[in-house]
Amino acid sequence: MTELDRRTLLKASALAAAVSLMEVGVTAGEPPAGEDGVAWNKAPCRFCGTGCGVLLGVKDGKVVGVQGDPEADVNKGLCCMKGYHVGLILYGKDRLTAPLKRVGPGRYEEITWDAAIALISERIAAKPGRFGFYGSGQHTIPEGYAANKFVKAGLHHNQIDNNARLCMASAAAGFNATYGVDEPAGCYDDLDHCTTLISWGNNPAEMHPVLFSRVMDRRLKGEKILFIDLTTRRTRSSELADHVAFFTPNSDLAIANGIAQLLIEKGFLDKPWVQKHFNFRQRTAEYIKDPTQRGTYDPEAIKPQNLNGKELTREDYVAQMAVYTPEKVKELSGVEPELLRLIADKMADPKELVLSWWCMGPNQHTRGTAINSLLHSIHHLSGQWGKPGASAFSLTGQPSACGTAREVGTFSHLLPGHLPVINAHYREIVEEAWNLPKGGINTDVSFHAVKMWDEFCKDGGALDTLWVQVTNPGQTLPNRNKLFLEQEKRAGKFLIVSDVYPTATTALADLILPSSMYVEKNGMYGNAERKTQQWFKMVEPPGQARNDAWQIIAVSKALYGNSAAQSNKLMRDKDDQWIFAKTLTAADGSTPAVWEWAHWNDLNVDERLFEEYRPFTKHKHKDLAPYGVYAKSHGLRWPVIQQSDGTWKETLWRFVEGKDPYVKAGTGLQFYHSNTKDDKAFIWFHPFEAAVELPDTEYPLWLCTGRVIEHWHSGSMTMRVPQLRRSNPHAYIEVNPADATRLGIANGDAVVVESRRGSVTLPAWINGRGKPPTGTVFVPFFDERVLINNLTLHAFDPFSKQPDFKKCAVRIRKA
Amino acid sequence: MSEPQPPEPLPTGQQPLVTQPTGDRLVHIALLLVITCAVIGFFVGLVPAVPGWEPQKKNAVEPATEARPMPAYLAMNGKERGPNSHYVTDIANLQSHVPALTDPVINTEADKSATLALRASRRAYAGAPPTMPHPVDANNVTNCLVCHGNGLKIDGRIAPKMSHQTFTNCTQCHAQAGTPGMGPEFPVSNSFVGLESPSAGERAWPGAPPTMPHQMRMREDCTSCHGVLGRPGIRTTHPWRMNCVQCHASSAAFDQHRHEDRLSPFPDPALAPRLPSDLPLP
Repeated sequence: MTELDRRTLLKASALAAAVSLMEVGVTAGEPPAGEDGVAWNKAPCRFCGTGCGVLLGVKDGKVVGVQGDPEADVNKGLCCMKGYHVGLILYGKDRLTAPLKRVGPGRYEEITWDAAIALISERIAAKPGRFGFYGSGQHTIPEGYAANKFVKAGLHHNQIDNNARLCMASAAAGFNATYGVDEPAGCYDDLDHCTTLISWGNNPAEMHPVLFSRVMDRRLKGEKILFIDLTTRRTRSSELADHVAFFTPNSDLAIANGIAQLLIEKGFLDKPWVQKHFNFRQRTAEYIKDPTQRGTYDPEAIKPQNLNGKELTREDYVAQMAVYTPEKVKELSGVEPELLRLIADKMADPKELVLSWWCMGPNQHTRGTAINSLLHSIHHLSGQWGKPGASAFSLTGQPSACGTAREVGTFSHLLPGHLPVINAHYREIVEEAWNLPKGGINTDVSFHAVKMWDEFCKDGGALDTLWVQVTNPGQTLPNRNKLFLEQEKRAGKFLIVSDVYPTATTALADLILPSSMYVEKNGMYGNAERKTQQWFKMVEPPGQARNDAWQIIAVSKALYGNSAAQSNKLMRDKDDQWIFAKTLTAADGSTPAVWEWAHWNDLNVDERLFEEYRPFTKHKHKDLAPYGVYAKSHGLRWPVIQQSDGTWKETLWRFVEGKDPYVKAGTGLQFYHSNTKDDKAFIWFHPFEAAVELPDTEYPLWLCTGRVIEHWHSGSMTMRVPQLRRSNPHAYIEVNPADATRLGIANGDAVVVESRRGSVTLPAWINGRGKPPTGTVFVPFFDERVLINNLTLHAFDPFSKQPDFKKCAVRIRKA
Repeated sequence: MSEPQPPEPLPTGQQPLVTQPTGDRLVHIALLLVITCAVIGFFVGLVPAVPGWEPQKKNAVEPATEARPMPAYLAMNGKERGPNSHYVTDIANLQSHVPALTDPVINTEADKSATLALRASRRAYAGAPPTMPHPVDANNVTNCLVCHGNGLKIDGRIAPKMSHQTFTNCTQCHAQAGTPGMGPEFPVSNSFVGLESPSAGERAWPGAPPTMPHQMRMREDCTSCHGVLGRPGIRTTHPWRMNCVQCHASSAAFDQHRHEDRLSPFPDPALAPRLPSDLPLP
């Protein structure tokens, strides 16, 4: 058969398949293989929040290659080294392939899936109120929705939270506090237009390399981009910066205020857009009486504050900001007045398009909500907002921290569609959609991530059983010695871990469930610029590995049939029907038994879950398109609105007239979720406050933890890719040469790092990839053999409850 | 102390080479010099001044505004100096290693297999960005262009020219093949088997120009692998012909710009998303 014939036939059969899909829903067609027998199909990359499009090549049932997707407008055909090797993460030799039950210290025995499902459901049925679910920003959208419904509808409480609490909760709180609704107004297209780029505590050359190149490659075309790197450590990103300024940890608050103060001096309070579109706000109470004194900060003692804050008059705003003169800012942060003035001048210049971007620096911060709000505020004040290229953009670290954790709302305080649990109106909407009785959604916001693990680990804590999916808290929780205890120290507790490889978390699990990953299943992710992407299963999972969503549905079904659970009304709606019964009914009315693994693929469960979730998204104007539209596209940024001709159109810039379909004509900017219900967003004031733990004579150095380009987060996937592991095989500590000389530490020497909470030993790298200033050290957290989170603090932001991994006090010595 | 000897008499028949000039001769020589200078000066004066000779001219070489600090002697102690085992550092010799376009090229099957094996050892799969087989400065990553910008051959070692257009951030895609011992090896292997590199394109008949056996994306510059600095066995026999795609057809099987119809089918074409290319920008 010639190629032409073959293609015609494939198209014809695809069409036939398509017509049949009209009836039964969308499933994967067989992608035609090329001459080399390789079939390529699209998926978003499995790693960070950038959401690059990749094409995976499959031959004989195995992934054999990866390409950047040239049709994907995020990355335009380019990937980073992790993306190019994403296919290899499926094939680490130690994949988990059977359920394992702990039978003694370090000893596990294989059990059947039936036994595992029965074990979990009996444990939950016995004490449903003492069960919690710890999910992930790597849950796919349908998985996250299943988990959320499992807990909030099935167990009548909100004891589900996820690892995005450690990652971007402060970014979300900053958006909510400023716009009344979460997620960025701008998008990656801003990178193609900005003329000045300001990086806040961020190393995009390693952490978001595709986006960093997207903006920096413009220089190769002769475009001029002024790049200012505000950082606590010299990084690869600094190498391409026009100005690099090191600031004292936590003093980003002072820098942002210093810029605001200079803008006030320039008369920006009188600008028409400030009058027309913004209200001024400040927080309602002090957090720390004496910010210089260590140990006075008790996050538990701080009552949750209203994200609305309280009104702030123009006079009060000016008076409070007046402190932050360039000279005072230099005293607090170390940043030179000239640079501060340069930034303010650029922001004040209407010919410039200024873009700020940040990631974990402002997020993993005990004042994370404050600094996020301030960064938006300086863009509002200066008018560097709402034009392509002029924006304040928060980057994310996980592939679906936005799509799943934030939008599906797998946080304890959220319902699907990012609807807050505390709002009675939204609870009613969800109760009705899920056919729950009135009051079926619990009003108690329950436990955020740190609290959840504290309750699980401490004596007399409120949680007995925790189920962890798609994340590795054993390595990534802060102050690990407090929040992640071994079995012997938490008697009577039961830890269930669904994962693909043995990790620091499975090492202490009581039950390990083998999961299928990435293109071994259908999936959907939502990236940092509101783009939702979909992919189809391409290869079979190994051994008995099964989908996370299947695991949730199977346990739910078992609980529905469990006699103990029946009296508690677990997994039932008000008509005593199983909560997933309607969800999992096919368009033709058939109800395949997908809770049995043999029937899992009889229905596109992803599509069913997604279509049930989709109506929730309209309440916060995060409208999503039907599943099939995503199946056909390379990703769309919400709100996605159907046009009069039936097509679906994405939205690049929110709140801007002519670009956001929800903005009324003639308004210019309209913040239609305004906290003050007057279509205005906020300009915040937050004072500078020192970090909660400061270096002192006993522990004289700042410790910052973070990531490297080769490895993704805890490294459970990338450490199994030889090309990436060989490039960065072991964690290290970056020490300033002056500190190293003083302490007699040479390159490669083993160094003991200690904080008040724990210690690790690892080799020193002096003048290495990153160069911390004197008095600071840096350790990446990817290496499970060097658990640097034994040292970090679990103190968290009072609004977002996100802990601070970027600063605590340590001492080091040669081992 | 010996007595000063009188000068030896010249051999018979030889005259002294220079005779003492008389007064008339001096005048003649001086006149001749003056006239010569005047004539030369006249013609030189007619020619416009050569630009750049005067330091105040724009394109004169500017004096350095700052000097590089001299390293301290103590700091020099630990530094390796002189030629190392890998490179010939003599610039003059480097030039001679670049073969001429007209040098004969003989590709053997043995060379080709060796080259393909070497390439495979540096890639996870055919088409993957190759890993870097040497250490790099962890930060000054654009230094890569010094050798890989135009390609380089030093003492048998080849630094291939980039096969794609220049990007800013080389280490975005290219991982180091090894970073010297930071700690013990992580003891997990991987069973991934990557797509094999194709060994040859198709020929319609013996002697026909072969089609390209791989896709062109990120490999737009054929000379990177097939040019005069290419590895043995895969070099073009006619490097002087500059327009490769004139004769060598790309294969639709690898043309990723046509992958749209490989997306999974969806029933209603009207549901296809319309991308906002019409969005107004300032």
